[in-house]
Amino acid sequence: MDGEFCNEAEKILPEPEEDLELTGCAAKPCCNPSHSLHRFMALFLMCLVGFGSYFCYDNPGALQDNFISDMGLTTSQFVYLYSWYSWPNVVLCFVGGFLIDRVFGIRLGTIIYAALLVIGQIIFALGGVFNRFWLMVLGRFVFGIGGESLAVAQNNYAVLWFKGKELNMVFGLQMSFARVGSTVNFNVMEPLYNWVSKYYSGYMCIGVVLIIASTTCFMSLICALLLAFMDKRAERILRRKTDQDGEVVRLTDVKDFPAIFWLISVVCVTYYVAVFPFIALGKVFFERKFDFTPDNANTVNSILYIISAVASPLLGLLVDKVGKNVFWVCMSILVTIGCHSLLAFTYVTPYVAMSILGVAYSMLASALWPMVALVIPEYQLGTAYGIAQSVQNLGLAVITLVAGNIVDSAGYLLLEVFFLGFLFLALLTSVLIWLLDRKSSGILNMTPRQREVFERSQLAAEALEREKLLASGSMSDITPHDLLQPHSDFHIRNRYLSRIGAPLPSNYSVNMKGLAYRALR
Amino acid sequence: MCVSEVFRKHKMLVIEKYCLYRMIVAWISLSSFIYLANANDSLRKLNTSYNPGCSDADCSSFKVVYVEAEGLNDTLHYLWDFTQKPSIFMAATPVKSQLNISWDHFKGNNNKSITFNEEPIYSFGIVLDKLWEYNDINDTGLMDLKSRDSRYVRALDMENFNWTLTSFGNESVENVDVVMEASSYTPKDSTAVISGSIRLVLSAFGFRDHYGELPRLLHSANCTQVELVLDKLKTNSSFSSSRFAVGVLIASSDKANTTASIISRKSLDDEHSPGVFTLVDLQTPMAESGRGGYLQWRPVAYVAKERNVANSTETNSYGVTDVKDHTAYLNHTLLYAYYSSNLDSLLVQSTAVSFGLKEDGFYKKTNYTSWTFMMGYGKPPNENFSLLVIFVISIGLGLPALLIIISGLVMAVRRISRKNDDLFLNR
Repeated sequence: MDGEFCNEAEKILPEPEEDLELTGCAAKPCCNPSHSLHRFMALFLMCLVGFGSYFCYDNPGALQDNFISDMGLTTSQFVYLYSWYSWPNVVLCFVGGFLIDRVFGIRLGTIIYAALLVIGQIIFALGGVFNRFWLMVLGRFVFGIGGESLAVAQNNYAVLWFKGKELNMVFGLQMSFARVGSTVNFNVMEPLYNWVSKYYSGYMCIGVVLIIASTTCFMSLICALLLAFMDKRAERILRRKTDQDGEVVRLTDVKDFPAIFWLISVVCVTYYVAVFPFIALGKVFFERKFDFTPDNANTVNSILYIISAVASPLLGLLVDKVGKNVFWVCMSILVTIGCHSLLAFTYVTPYVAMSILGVAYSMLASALWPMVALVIPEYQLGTAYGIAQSVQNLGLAVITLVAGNIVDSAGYLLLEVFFLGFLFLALLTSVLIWLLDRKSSGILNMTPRQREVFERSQLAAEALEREKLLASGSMSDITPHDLLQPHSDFHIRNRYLSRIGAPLPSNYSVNMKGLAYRALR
Repeated sequence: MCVSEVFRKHKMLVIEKYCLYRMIVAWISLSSFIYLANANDSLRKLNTSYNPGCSDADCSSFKVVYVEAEGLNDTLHYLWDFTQKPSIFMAATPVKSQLNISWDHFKGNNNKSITFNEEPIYSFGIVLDKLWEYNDINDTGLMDLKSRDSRYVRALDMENFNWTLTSFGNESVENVDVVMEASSYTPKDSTAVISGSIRLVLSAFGFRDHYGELPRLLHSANCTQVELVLDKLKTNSSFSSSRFAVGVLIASSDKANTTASIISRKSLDDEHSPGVFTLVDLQTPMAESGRGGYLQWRPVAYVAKERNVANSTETNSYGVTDVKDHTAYLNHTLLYAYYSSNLDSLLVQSTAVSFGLKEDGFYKKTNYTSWTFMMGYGKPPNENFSLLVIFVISIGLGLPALLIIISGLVMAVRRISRKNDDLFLNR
């Protein structure tokens, strides 16, 4: 039904760009940037870029007891290794994303952040070698700057290469790779430590283990370099980005980000705080309320990660095929509310609730993050993802503290009610997104086919208007409708630019300021 | 799209119904709570004395705290004795009944040295008999009560600790706290001295409330709270994985062939003792009628002075078993001084509680364990949803649910009204 109105528009539309003649290696599937095989090679690299960061992030967690005994730390000192990673990123994610857009560009940005990852991990390891705790904390800080901004860069790459194609699946796959990274870490680090401890002991051993772990960061850096090469080549061959040259993101653009983007960020916070802080406090809850043994409690606690590692790419694929992101977001929030209610108000075995929660969480992650790319033009995307991630980091950091206090003073039932409250807020926000989206273009809840048609019709309408403006040069373009409508500055500038014959950037439109309709491909 | 719309609304409706149900349940329990509080809760006036009625020079060897809790319909007498084995005794008598201790007989451990001038309605006592240290090499958290292998378990007889009254604080008509501490242990059979301290904090209350400190047990005016703290106890050097357990003897004026029972109940609410959903009651047979005795505890022990969820571990209880040789077990206790030869026709049983949970790092991790239980007369009190919980649930869930309903309605109304407009005009 939504697609019907554009039938006419479709006819006016100029034919999509003709396929470029490719010769040599580029003609083969593995080297041809427009071929899916080549894209999936890039995807593999994108996932590996994140691997080092997720592997090393949980190094302290995997070796907690060894850290505490070898370095003579207290538990609260140990916590610094995580808080010095996460707190600065409340701000730095945003800065990192903005720098990608404004200064470095995606390729250089990714390389720089991957390099920071390596440097941070090496400093961290040296802190172990020299038994200097402050050096370790410094290392974690540098590592954090690199790691979180790298995640933003990773999102950007995904959008650049996969928007309008398998974007949701790619987001899902990146997420499951993150899980794989931390799972591998938890399984590998202890045997590695035991092996190294045959040759070194004490803090030296920790240092050496961390240096060995830093090879994963080196691998990330190499992947970032390869990816930059591939992207450069693809850009040259596909002549990508030509229309948007000259568009530069400004800090003040942030205030013009559409309301839907901010609402998406709100969902990010309100949903994720009901998942991760809960997992952090979950073990005792499962042990005490459901009489689980510590082993079982750990299993049920990690079930969410295991399920999400498998389910996110698959569910992403589903969202790719069906579209309707907002619908899926609402569904997953509803299901999550159901799961938390099961945990809070019943004694049904948590395996049920946590398994369903795992699926709902994966669905949300695969459907929510790509929505940002639909409402924000490409040249602002780094900033936008940076903001979303910063806001999420802030929410998680604050709520984790608050949740701990709630448990200690009022118990798990109230904690669950607290999380349910956040989930209802998330649901409310996503309903609001749905309404706002319906009022404007409705692109978020379209099927992929409708999105394609919509984008084309937008291009056609633009072309039509431009033609009209350029052709007339008289008052003939002023319709009675125009005279009755109040004009925005934007609209007037548009008309002026058109009249003097200046080319209009494709994303200039009266209806939707700051929206790029063109799928990036 | 229509199908999904309908489905979503249906889902919301279900949730809304669920919330409504919860709220109704909560309000009913609130009103019943208020009702119960009004009906059951008499206030009592506490009157405390130390070695009551003892005036000669020998008195310094006795360590008996006596609390008289006078209510409207009856009087409760609490006797806390640390002269030898720590014993806690309570008797419910008619209001005017007086306690009488014949100290000479008490010292000689003679029959009936403790009497009341009006026969008690019910009496009930416990003895903290032994502290067991067991070597939990398989890290199960459970103790094998049958094993007497010295490589597995070491029993510390409580009477071998030297108990001293360290504080007699907070004495008022509403509340009494007594702290007994044992810092040296000299076993009869060897010269080994065990360092560290065992502390018992006993509190009696004249009103119903939750105790201020975790696990915030609910006490009525008929309760004594007992808190056992094992602080920096030196563990057996040949044990690699020491945990502790306490053996408790129970005697009451119930008939000999009856039995006390341990029931553990689960609730959804852990507001008062975060992270603990279970409440364990040990009831004597008479408790059903409301005139018996009970012990009530949360199966949680705290492993550091700062009590919170992170510093907690679990406790395990092992049921009740009959004690055959009454006199041998209860000799040299205040219970024997009261019940004496009657014990053979009365209920005498024992139970045990161990502290620790698989993978909690054993006692050596913090060298600290504290466990708290209530001992009371009547029926064990039931926990209910507190006002705070009900309030938070209704605001936290009701309000957003209401908003969602409203926005759903608005959407529906807009849909209907939009049908009349030209759909494409707005685009």
